[in-house]
Amino acid sequence: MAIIRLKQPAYPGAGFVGGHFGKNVNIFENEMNRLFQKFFGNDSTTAHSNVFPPVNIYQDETNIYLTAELPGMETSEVTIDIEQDSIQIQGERNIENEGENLCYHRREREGGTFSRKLTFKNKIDSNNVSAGLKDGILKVTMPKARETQPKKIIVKPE
Amino acid sequence: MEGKDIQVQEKKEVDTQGELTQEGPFFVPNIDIFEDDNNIALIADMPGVSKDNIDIRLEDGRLRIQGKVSKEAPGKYVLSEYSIGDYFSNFALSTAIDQSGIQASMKNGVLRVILPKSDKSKPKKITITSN
Repeated sequence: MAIIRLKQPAYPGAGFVGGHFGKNVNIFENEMNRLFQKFFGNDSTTAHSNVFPPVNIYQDETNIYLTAELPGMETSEVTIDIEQDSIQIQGERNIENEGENLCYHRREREGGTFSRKLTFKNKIDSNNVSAGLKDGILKVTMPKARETQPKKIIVKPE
Repeated sequence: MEGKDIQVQEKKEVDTQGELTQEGPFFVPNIDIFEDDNNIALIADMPGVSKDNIDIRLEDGRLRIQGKVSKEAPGKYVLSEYSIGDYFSNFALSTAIDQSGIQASMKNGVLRVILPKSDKSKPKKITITSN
């Protein structure tokens, strides 16, 4: 039997990073992909998306966390809309006009509008979502809805 | 919202010659550089770098910028679309700079450095007199 290395979707979140609306983030599948990848020694786990802003998503038992790089943006320039199982990030990044008669040697920083929506399989407690922007990094903390949190059952002697 | 859509730019890893003494990826920030008669200005996007974690040096006509980013993850990775790493950039400055007048500031992950040109390298206007 030959082992064929999958070139294409062998990274976490491969199923939905196209940035299309309404697709699901399947946490379990992503986790499985990640484990497989670790096992086969391919450690470059970054998915290249063609949407702005690229995001990283993390979770622990109680929360889902989303981070995105938005350098130079103020809190007033970003809007976040939360629904039961989705988050939408919108905004506009402005690159200041530095003045007239300047000679540019390099111009790499980009401005423009963006909008991105991500849907989760887990329901989130939309009333308790918090978001912060620090040093150009957006961080959103979304508590999982109670019914999706793992429950610990204590075994009592009868 | 009006206006053009933002273009997606992938993070560029530093192309090193020789070994790095630190683990993990290093990225080159996206940079604007422009000049007018008096100053050279440099603006670099370095998200995640705070004012206290940036190191700027001017040595032998080269400007070296290094920014440290916290690699702490709040939980287990579910999805990773961008990598996290420190920033590094290095420039040769062609014109003489007035080193004492260099100003640098950091705001919302954007570094801004103003390098005033020394009097020697400022353009001079020569007025032509008619005899």
